[in-house]
Amino acid sequence: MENRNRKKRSIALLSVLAGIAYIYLISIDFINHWDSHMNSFAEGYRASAEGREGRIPDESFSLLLNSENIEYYYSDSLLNLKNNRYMPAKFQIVDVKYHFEDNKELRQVLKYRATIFIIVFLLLFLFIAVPIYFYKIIGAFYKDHIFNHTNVRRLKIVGSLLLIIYGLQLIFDITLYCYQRSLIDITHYTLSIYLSGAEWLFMGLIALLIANILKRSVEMKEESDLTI
Amino acid sequence: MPIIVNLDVEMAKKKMTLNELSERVGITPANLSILKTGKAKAIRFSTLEIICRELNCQPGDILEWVDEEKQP
Repeated sequence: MENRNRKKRSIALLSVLAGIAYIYLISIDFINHWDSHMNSFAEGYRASAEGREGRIPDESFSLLLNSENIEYYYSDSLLNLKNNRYMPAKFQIVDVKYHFEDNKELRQVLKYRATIFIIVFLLLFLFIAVPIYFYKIIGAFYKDHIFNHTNVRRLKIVGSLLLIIYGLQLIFDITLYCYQRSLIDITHYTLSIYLSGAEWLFMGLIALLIANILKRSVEMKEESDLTI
Repeated sequence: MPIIVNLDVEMAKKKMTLNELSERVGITPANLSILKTGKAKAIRFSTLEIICRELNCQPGDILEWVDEEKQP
């Protein structure tokens, strides 16, 4: 009895740690670039005010830059205030603000903006759905309902949702890249696609692998239960 | 499943109920019912042995193989 309680406590502890890790995973970008996100909130607020006044709000982009020519890798410079000398520099990720001249220009990129909006909406929905299913599985484990087809189904759903998140992030990255390319072309640099979300692909495949192992375990348990 | 369990036939021959056999062989009525209805996936030699002893029959009297392909 004591042993069972200890096992239950370890399941509870691990599930809490997994929850914290999940929050960390979805907020790591926010933590790393908190100033950029705070600025996005401020700009969003300003943009809504500008929209109400009939003006076209500016668009902020975070560009991933690669050197156009490796011989001119340090094609920019930064002033070193310690000695008032300029240092050669190469920009990697740069935040820029794009000003739309008129509504016609805005309409030309509407398809990108609409796609990004839909993907963000879907991702928010999936980010909530994944932990709900995960905690349903943990809850069943906690009640000692481990080897059953419901858990296999739930784990398969979690795996599929994680893979869908990866797919949506990939589409998001490609769409954002095309959006940037349609508006921006910089001297000395080429725009690069910022691919993210490989961790979702890995976790999704691991979840599906565990689901298949659990399915086999359920079959073996049924076989054992039906041996008289 | 091509293996047919004829436990009910042997029990009827010996005029024995499921509960009576359950008490004699020390297997729960639920498990004997699984065996009788053919839902069981496997049967242990020890189980087969005590059932044969109590029903005074051979394993072949309880288990029968039928060719599924020849069945209508």
